[in-house]
Amino acid sequence: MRKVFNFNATSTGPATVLGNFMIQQYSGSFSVTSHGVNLLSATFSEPVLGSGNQLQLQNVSFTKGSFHFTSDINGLAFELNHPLDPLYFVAFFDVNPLVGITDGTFAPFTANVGSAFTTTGVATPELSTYAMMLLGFIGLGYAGCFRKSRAS
Amino acid sequence: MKAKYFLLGLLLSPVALPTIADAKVSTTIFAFGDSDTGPNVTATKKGNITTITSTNTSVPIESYQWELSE
Repeated sequence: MRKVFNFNATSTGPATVLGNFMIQQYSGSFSVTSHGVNLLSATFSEPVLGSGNQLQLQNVSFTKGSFHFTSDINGLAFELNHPLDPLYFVAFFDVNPLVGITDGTFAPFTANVGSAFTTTGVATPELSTYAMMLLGFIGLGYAGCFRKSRAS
Repeated sequence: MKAKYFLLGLLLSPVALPTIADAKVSTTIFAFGDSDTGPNVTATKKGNITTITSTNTSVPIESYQWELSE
């Protein structure tokens, strides 16, 4: 099944040097589709950050911007739009020529692309863990009851 | 009296859960692309504006944990 990636982002501010990195704000959209099915699409306003031969559009830590996901996959967009800190990046590898700034904006380049989308959730104990805890508390209850009846 | 301790045990169970559940986990739920397919995004510059584009690029899906809706 062929998956097709479309991406379009235009700079909305000047590129600046930030320590060892260069950073520039972009707005745009991307989609990953398969035979008309929207696997994952988004509109975003995020910084592109990087140096050397790598750049990343990302909403990690201090670079968080804004985004909105849609998807035909049940629950995926909901999970990524959830306020519980989803993290994602679209990475450009093998940037050629190396990342540079001319006239206040990123110089032209070609690159490969990769991406990952991560959610941060709360670890929920499995049902068997709940059952073991319940048994433990019941045992404590009986132990307390037994001690009380021995004392009287 | 036994019933009292039994019920106390039952009532205490959910109270103790939040401390265990506080640990946060990160899960990658969708990933795509690779670095072996050749250049598939192009950045062009017009004045002080740069546009990064990729049109109808074939990409592999590395992972997703979700089912397509019917």
